Amino acid sequence: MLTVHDLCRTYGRGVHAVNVLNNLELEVKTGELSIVAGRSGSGKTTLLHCLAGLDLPHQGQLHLGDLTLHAKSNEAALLKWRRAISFLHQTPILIPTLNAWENVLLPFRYNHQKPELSWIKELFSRLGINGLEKRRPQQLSGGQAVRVALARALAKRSQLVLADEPTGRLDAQTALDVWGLLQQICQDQNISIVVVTHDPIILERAQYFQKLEFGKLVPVMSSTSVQNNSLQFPEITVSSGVTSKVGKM
Amino acid sequence: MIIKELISNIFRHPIRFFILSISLGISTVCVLFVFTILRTNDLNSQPSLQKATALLEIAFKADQINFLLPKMAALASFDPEEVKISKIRGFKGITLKTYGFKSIYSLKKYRNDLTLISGNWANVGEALVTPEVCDLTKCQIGKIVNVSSDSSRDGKNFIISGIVRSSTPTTIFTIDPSAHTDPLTYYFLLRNYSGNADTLTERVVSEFVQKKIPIDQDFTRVSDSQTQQSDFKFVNYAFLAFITPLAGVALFSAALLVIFNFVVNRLERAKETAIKRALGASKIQIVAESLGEAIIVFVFTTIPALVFGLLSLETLNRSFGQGKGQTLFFPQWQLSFSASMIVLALVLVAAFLPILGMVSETPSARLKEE
Repeated sequence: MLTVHDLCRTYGRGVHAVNVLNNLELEVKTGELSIVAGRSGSGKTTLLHCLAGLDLPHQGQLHLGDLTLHAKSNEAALLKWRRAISFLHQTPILIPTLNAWENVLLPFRYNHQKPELSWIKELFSRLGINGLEKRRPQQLSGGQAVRVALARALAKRSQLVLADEPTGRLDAQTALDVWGLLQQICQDQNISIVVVTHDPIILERAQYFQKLEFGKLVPVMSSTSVQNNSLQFPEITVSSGVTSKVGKM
Repeated sequence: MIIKELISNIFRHPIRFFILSISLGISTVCVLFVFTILRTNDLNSQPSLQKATALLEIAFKADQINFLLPKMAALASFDPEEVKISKIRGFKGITLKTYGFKSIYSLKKYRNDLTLISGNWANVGEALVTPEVCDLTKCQIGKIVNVSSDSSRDGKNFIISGIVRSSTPTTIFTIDPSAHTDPLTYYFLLRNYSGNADTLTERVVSEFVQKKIPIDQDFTRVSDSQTQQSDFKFVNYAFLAFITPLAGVALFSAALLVIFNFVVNRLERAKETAIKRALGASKIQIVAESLGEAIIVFVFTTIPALVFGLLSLETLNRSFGQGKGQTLFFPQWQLSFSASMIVLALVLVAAFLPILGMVSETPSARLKEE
């Protein structure tokens, strides 16, 4: 389904260059829910943006069906890629002049597709935002806005959905519901989902995830490893001397 | 949905939009005024109006029709150097001063002294006459008048559609698309005339009296078009001197304000633009949305401004040109169109530049901003 080979993304130049993604390899099969974890600043969002065609790698190739992205891909190729996938940003960026329903229909306008209204209604229902269709984003709570953004990502029935911290702004129960829904949709619809997160609620329940470390993905097995804090996020030393540990919350 | 979204976007910041509207409105009105004044000055200096140094209207009683030709000949002889009689050759019947207009709109614009007494305003191929002409010629609504003109020396037939009161009572107004210029076909032209209308009237009347030519003095007058237009020219130049710098400043300020407005809007909506691109919007779709928004801003601001501008010109015309049978300004819809196109170009450029910068960067850069 999605294959990433030798992916490199560097920020800065010369001695200041930081290799955020370093010869990264990734394969996501059809119907697979792939989880990428990692500490803040490890490059999770950069990886997801590269996967979403929002940023171009400096090296390597991405394959999705018969689509390919590489360092020199043009705008047309990027556009085809973006239209083939669905992307959920970590903050629910909704268009404030459109109501929830119109926000969910937005991808269809840009992709020149006819929306499948029954599926979208079902999504609203399954996400617990039924009855909020006419509300503007400013009339929604943070959690409701996230779920509308998730509905927008799932409405298109893309073969690949990329979600950046989908549960980061939700309370525990709603996060669990959303996570369950993602798993269910992944199975029901046979679509691939890549979730970037450091939410313990998800990591505790995942049987398998990949940790992004030094620009590469390292497989981590079983949820017990998280419970035992075996994610082993490196300690971050703040200049004041205070140390904090990122990971289990 | 798109139109609704674009309109909602414009009204996101009502106060900002209000200031922008006022600024664009002032610019539009100023540009319209400058164009109108330039056009009016251009019309005033056209050869057809220059020839009309002075226009003699001599009215004869209906029972004197048979004496018309000798009287005209006598008039020609009264000062051969200054007076030229034209359009004598080939005319049939009684010859009255005829104004040929391309349309009723054009007629109303050039002759705002007309009041419809009975019948209807004329369509193409129809004519309007004054009660005085009716009295002279015994014509009436529905009847045909034969009118000679530059394009048809043998005369053209027009159906009388209505009777109008006019400051030039011995006049027939025809609607004739073949009229080569909007105003005026003259039958008596005085060249190189430097006096004013009143003294010329006195001279003409005294000459007629001296030569014992019977005329109806009530209907004898000279319209000194050149003198009247000169008065207006001064007013026009005064307006031009005042409004041109104002228009320049207003347009420049509006340009800055529009650019500022669109730049700020774009920066505020940078993340929205990025997420739209992530959802599959092409650069062209994003630019088109921005330009669509600009066009709606233009429609909301410019159309009321143009209506206001045209009404103001009409008001000025009524205030300054009333009773003179002349027009201070010649407002034309084509000028409104030209003025609005300048404002539209300004708005489109102002909308296009910031969005062009926005779509040139990768969506990722904007989405990562906190």
